[in-house]
Amino acid sequence: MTKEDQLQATVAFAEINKRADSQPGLIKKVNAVIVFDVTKDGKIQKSWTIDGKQGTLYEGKPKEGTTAQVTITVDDNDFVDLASGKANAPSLFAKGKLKVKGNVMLAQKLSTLFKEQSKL
Amino acid sequence: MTTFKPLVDAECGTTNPLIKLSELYKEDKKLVIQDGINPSLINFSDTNLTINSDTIVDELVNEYHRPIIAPNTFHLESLLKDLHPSDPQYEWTKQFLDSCSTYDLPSSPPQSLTLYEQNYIQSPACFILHPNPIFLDQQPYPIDAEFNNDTVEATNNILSLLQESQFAANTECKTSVNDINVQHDTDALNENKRQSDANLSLFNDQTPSSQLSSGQLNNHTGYKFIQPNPFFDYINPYEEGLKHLEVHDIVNAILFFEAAVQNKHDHTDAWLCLGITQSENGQDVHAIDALKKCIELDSKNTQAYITLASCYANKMLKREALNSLHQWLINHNKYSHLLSNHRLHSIRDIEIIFEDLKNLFLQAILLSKNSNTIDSDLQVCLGILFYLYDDYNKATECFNTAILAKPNDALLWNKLGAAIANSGLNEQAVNAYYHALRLSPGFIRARYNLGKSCLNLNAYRQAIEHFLIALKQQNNVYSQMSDDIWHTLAIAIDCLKRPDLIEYVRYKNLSKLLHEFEIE
Repeated sequence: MTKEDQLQATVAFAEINKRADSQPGLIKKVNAVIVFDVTKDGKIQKSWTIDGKQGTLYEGKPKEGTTAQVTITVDDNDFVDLASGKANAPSLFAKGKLKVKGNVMLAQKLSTLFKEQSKL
Repeated sequence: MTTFKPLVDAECGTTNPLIKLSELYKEDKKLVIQDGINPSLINFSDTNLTINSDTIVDELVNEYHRPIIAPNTFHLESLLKDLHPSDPQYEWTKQFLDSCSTYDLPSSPPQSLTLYEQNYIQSPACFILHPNPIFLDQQPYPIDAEFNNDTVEATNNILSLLQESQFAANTECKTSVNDINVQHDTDALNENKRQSDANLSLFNDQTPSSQLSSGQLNNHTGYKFIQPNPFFDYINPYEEGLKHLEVHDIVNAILFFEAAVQNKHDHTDAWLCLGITQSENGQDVHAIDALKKCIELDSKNTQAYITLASCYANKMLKREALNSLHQWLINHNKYSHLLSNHRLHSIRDIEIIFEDLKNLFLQAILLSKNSNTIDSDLQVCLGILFYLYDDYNKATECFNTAILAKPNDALLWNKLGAAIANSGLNEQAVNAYYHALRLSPGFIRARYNLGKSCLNLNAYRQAIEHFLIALKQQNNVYSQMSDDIWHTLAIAIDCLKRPDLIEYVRYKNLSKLLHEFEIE
């Protein structure tokens, strides 16, 4: 068992994919290419790419021809808090637990992935 | 006592350290209650802070565009609780309340109330997940067809707020508003109309850039009926359907309406009801199919267009939603003339269509402003437009205004809840959903939305209960339960950490789950 398999973020991203399956167009709402570098014990363990332009979410760095517009580096535990709503991005950022590279304003729409969307 | 000397001893001219320490813990009575938010009421617990930095940025930047809750939530009493009798503010507020009681509040609110309606924004901590009894027990704000000046003033203020916001700074909007007054040349009018009609025909093309589900929608062979239908041979299925809607039995109503249109293919009203009811049932695809049939038969049916717009918005089909909103405007006898004054830009750029439609709706609102009435359908259209572009704050304002005119329309309350919830304020949304459900207990979509908001607030058990009740209402020998609800139920059960129940979800064993969560 490598350390990678123990990441809670893996489960969290699977959850988000499940949510996206039942709501087509959900990932496109993010409307940006965001990369998450999830760390554990200070070292980057795995990356995930949320491609809001294509509407896909996958493990790893952005594919050929896609550039990340925002890269967020966060610890595994903090990421789970973020995804479940227990913590919010600005407060994590203020505490130094979340590092952002690129256009941070584009990360605003991320919450649509972490929350259930209501219907008119 | 000598041990305490360092604490109580002071250097010459300064206060002693103990006093300095106590100053840190003194309550700052000067804390001003601004905008109706009492800082001491705000509970900064995790459930209130969402990770939606949108909310925070929005709160800071767009203070004036905070959702204004429908009129009957103004509680001066709760503000009073936090004032002490010795506080000079208390005297004033007590006097105000006394003067209030001399008015017959429900029918004619006192003059000054409108000012507070604008400024008062209820703090998030007042909303609990259980239906707020104060909120629910209040009678809906009685609106007569004729509004008294105070309500009109409040509405005008809301409308002018809408106009003062950033997009109104866009000179294009201002000039087009002026254009209405200036343009008298009939030739120019005809020319514009011809041009806009030509541009409109482009709307009907389904461009490849539309989202995938739009393409799937095109390949639909039309409405898919439930087979077999137990009511197929009924004499008057349409009337029966309406009766079942009255008692909030959505599932059987749908079966009746389906029977009605199968017996009589050109029954426009039945198709319309079928569309609206399927939307209440949470089935947008079926709703769209039914409404499209309605429009085939009656191309001027504005109610169908507005329902279509909200269904398309739910499916995130922007182009189709914009088209429906546009069709609503064209076919509305009060506002269709606005289009002749306005040249619609080329269709390729969706953003420009949005701007044009927004301006048109605003012009229409100006028209109705003059006659001192609120056109709730118009407000809903504008609200859907904003919702489509993720501007949930403005959408909330529009739906709120629509509710002023129709406070007993459950569909409006659900729309309001959806706009509030998607802006991140799930606690406030819960109250709107409860309102919708009180008016229409069989409203599946509102209940599903309520469950989703509970889920977003990490109230897993309550979310599950709501989902189960919705599924129970949908459960019928002839029709299927919603896969979406099952799906979200699975997520909630997962969050509740009950893997033993996942088995029931997989095999859709509703009765076992109802038993587990003690729902009859």
